[in-house]
Amino acid sequence: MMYIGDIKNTPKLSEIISEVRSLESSSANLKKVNIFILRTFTVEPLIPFLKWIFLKNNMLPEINIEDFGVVESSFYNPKTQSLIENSDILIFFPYLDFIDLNSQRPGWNNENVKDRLAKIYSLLKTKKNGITLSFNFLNALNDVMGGLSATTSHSKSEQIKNLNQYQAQLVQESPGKSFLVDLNQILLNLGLENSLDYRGLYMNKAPFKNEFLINIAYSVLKKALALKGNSKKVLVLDCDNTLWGGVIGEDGISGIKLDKDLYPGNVFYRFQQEIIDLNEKGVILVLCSKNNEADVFEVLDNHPDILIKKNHLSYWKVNWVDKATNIREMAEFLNLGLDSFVFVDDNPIEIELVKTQLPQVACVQVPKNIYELPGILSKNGYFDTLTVTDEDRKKTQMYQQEASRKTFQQGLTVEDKSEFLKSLDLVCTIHKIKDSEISRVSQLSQKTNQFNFNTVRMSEADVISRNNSSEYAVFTCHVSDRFGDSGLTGVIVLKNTESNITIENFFMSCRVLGRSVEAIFMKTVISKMQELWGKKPIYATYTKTNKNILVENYWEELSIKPEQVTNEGKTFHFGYDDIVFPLENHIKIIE
Amino acid sequence: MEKKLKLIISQILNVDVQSIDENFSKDNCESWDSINQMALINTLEEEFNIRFSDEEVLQLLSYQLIKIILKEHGVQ
Repeated sequence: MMYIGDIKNTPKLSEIISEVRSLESSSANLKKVNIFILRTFTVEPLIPFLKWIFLKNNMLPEINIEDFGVVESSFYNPKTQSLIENSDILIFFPYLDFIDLNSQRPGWNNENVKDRLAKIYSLLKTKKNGITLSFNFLNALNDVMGGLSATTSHSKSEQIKNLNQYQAQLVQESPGKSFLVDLNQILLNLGLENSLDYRGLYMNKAPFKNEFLINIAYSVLKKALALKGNSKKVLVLDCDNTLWGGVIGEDGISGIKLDKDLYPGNVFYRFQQEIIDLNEKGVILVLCSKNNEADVFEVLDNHPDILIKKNHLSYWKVNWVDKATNIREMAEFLNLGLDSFVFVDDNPIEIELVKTQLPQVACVQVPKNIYELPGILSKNGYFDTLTVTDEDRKKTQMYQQEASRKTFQQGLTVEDKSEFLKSLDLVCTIHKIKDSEISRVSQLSQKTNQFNFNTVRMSEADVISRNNSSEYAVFTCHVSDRFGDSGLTGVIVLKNTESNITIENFFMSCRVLGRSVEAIFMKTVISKMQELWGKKPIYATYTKTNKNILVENYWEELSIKPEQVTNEGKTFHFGYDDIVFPLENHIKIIE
Repeated sequence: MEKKLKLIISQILNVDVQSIDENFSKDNCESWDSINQMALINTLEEEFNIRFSDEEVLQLLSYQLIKIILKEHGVQ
């Protein structure tokens, strides 16, 4: 997996072009991504970068570009209609010339442009599958109002700011389906000199420099990756010289550098703020530090300027064991794949060790110039997700509950196991999907890799269309116990065909596994749909990936033998009565 | 310089290095369209560390012309 932070120097165009050719010639097994671009300027120079960045991430982009300036009419032309509908990512990329030329005149306002945007977004909404990605307008450069522009509401720059807000509103009308990239953010990061090519703009209507283009390509990739469920989930933090300056074991709580105002403590303070923001977005925080646990928690509990407290952490390993071993154990404990981990440390040896032993983990080295530390995590784009749900926000709490469950469980003998399950007071709420759950269901389908039978990713539009179809039934499962509420953690999608009931999709969050919930959920859903669709045989499949070995023997454990076993997976064909379900008297089911 | 130039042209226009002779130009090469023209100019500037003037940009239409203009920029 490549992140923008991994591209240290933008490669030369000739290198990119030849690399694209050689990657394309060996791309037979790569997953195809269809991209269709509606544009008002020469977007072609973007294409090599777009292809390069997708191919580098093991996807083969098929890119089509609409002619200049025919944004609206392409929705009525049968040929482009199908390109629009079949695209995984539809890109709408207007440039400043989209705004009429009178915009340089005093008294200009953006009403006409707003009308056109509203019309275009009503057309974009008609696309049923895949996602739409828009770019906004660059804030006006060389505003004729000069120093007065910020306080003059009809100045071009104020009108464009207002237009960008309006466009953002239109995009937000299709949550989970329509996304916006802020070009001004890229411009700010790179600076004008590295971004805009005036010769290209006036000679060829191609306004962007290569470095800018690669960042645009990356922003498209990020959306594609988040759509495929590849964003990181866990942030593993070292303590000394990462969360604060200095070494707690040597410098003591009053000696370490951590301060609201004073350099260098203010750098670490700011870095902690960013980490807290990520945590609130749903990123799981864990500590991995070679220290005495008591020393570290003295800082966390008592330092006047500490922001990261115990309650932000889902887990920690403060010991003298090597960090690769620690991280491996954390992954097991949290039930998450190593490729969802990001590891931050100031010690190059630790970074190297983790890189070699656990290549799936993304490693971030604390920079030599310590003032470059804040911003490093967002710059790399590791934690970009398409949406943030309430469950994300509660995630830390849920993993903490899971930790206390496990500690509780460890103190029990095997014979106590069933007693233990009973003592959990498990409650499963199982019902057909509600409108309010659509975004969470889509997100869970994107993020779940381990307990996932066929790894079919569903966009919100996919969920909605299945929910609206009488051939399909989408069920959700909420799990709670005495330690807390895990929320919506399981989804089953059934399809009613002439000869059988097909289990099209079945995935669950790993948080709730191992308590028979995964079997009881299936039992409840199938028996319910057999009442409605008839007692037909059941057809189930398992599609093998690198990650879903967890469910490989799910059906066998319920006494169902596979009909066919291949390298790609298994198929099962059976009657409901063949299934031997485990005891369920420890679970209370609410429908 | 000629070897490097031919390599660049062949990469950008996706043609065989051998096919680039003294007569090679925008008129007899199908893949030499306006988009590749832009890529070619950007790459030449990047590779030879020069900046073409506006006039030169419009003149870079054949292998021969590119060679002449590169020489004027002191490229050996």
